[in-house]
Amino acid sequence: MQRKALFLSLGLHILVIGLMFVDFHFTKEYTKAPPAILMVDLTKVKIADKTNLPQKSVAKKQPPKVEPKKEAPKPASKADKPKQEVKAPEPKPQPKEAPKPKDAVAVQPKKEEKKKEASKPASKPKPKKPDYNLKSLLASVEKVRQDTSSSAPQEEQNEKALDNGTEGRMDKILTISDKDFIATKLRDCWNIDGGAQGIEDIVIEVRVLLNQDGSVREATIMNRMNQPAFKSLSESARRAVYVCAKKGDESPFKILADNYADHYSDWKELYLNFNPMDANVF
Amino acid sequence: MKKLLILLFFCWASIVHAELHISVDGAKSDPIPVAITQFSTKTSTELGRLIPQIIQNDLERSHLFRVIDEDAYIQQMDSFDEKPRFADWQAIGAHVLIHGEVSEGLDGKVHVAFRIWDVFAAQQLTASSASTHPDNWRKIAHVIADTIYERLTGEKGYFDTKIAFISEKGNVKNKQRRLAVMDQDGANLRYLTDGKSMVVTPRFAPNMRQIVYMSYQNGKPQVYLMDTTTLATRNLGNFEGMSFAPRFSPDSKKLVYSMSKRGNSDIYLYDLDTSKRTQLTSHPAIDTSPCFSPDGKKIVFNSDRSGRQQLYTMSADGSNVQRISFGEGSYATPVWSPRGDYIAFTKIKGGTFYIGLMKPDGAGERLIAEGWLVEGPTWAPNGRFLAFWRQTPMDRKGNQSAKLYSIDVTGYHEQELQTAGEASDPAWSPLLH
Repeated sequence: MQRKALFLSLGLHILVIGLMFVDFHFTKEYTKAPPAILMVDLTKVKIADKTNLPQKSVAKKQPPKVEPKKEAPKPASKADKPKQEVKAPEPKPQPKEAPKPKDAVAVQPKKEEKKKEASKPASKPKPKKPDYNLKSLLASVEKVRQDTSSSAPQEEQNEKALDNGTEGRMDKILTISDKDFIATKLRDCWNIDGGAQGIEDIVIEVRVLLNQDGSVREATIMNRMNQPAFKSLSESARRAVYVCAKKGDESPFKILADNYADHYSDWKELYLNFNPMDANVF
Repeated sequence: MKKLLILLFFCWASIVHAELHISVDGAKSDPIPVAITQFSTKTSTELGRLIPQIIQNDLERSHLFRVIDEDAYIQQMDSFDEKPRFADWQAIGAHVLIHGEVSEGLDGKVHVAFRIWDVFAAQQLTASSASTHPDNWRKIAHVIADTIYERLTGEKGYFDTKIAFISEKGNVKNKQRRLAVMDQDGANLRYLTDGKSMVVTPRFAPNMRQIVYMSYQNGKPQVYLMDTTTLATRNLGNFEGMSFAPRFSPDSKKLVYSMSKRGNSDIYLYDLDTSKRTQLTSHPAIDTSPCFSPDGKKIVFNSDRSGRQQLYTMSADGSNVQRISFGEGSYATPVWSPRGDYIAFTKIKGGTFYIGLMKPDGAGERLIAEGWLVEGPTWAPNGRFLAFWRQTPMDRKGNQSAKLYSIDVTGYHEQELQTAGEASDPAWSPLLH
């Protein structure tokens, strides 16, 4: 009996471990090259609009005009070495290349750079200048940026990264705020009898086929449940899709047509899971 | 093994599900906007207008529907077979369109056909027809309203029902109480007793063939049965002591009631076929107000065996008694919902009466109505609405007012039920079709 259990346990363990290598999609991420450090200009990129930032930006081909090797690393600030910070001179003006301070918070300078900087003569010191650490960081950031695969200007790089990042499943592309927007609009269109029995256990899946302008071509109830209220409730969910779609500029699907027009093939088929749980008054 | 299968399922699901999924959690509970046109008719124009009016009244009284004013309608539906111009109905905000046709057959009956349209999905939800004697046209309207209600909410309707109640007339010292019955909308009022003896607590048999009630017909309170067709009455038995608070079993074959002997009240079961009487409780406390669960397996009742009136359940044979109410105050007149999910009761606390609900295990107690005196909850057959009666305190002239009310199980939409004069002790019938 014990041997049988042992073999059963062993067999199951082997099966689970095997499945992890074969099926678990997250294991695949370890095979990828570590993603490049990407600078994000927070003043130009709204977090809510770009919440699903790119996993594949490194793998994306660079435009032909960008030739990373030809662009030599630009001299960084001389205030890079910590011991020299007190006497650090004014850095040579590099306004276009120095990222904004808030961008550099998590970036660490590299040791090799410190040696180079140390051999350079210092400029006139300005003892009371308070932002030595900041300058050091800025310089480091600049260096790091040059060491990354792309040497394109920051804005261009960000744009490319964002473009690259919006490839793949629509679930990844659609921002959380846009997803919430669509769900909230649909919730307002969904009218149910909150006192009906057993509705808290009901979930309705509706497949919506959308036209390119965001209008609904077809809404189909995809599942069946045994609860007496399911039929009417599922029809009310389907009705909510049509009612919402007829609201013109207020339609929840218009945001897809407006903001994700290039990804029509990804959202032309939409699956909505309606769950009336919050409507129950008990 | 089961867990392994679940694991495999999730692995598979994560791989194959690549579409855009959005969860819509929650909804609003506003009335459904409905358009009801006048029914097309070739012969009786009056019924073509009256039947939709009854349907509208029924639906609006439920507060689950909002009928859009006819003046807003863009399309005039002249023929029963005319297809709606859905854009016109969408423009006025109607989600559902109801259209019908009334005709008179060679058999002298009125035939009514109707369609329910989903305006936004642009498709017919259902179509049906019914026929009846012309004098019975109100019933056919209620049946159509029930069909609409069921089709759009998923629950049985309650419009083709009757309410039995005690019609009260006169002042406090000399009040006449007669057993009366009416449609749930107040129409077709009919008195079943002459008022010579006091009648209380009427209850319909689930098969609608009888009404049971308590009367002082022979000078002492006893349980009587009335045939709803012939109105013939019979005493359940000239038992020793008082018998009261009767209710039918779900199969209409038995009665459960209280009987008081030598100051002690217990619960009894009476078989209507064999006239056999079985004592279900035997306790020195007062056990009363028994009511069967809809499956007939349990009985809820109230008892003061704990020192104060509380609610208890027991098996139909009297075993397995369990207390289910533990709140402050006293609990009385428990009534099990036809759909089995709630027990309605009267609660007396701090000098105020309440109508409340709780789950059959006593959980989730909610008070949904209150008053100086609110009593006698009774369920609509779909278990979604309740009726009860409310009495006001006596004014300086010695007058009191008693009226019937209905309320949604959610605790909203309390409204007065129209009766001729004062009324108390309502009993909602089962669905009649």
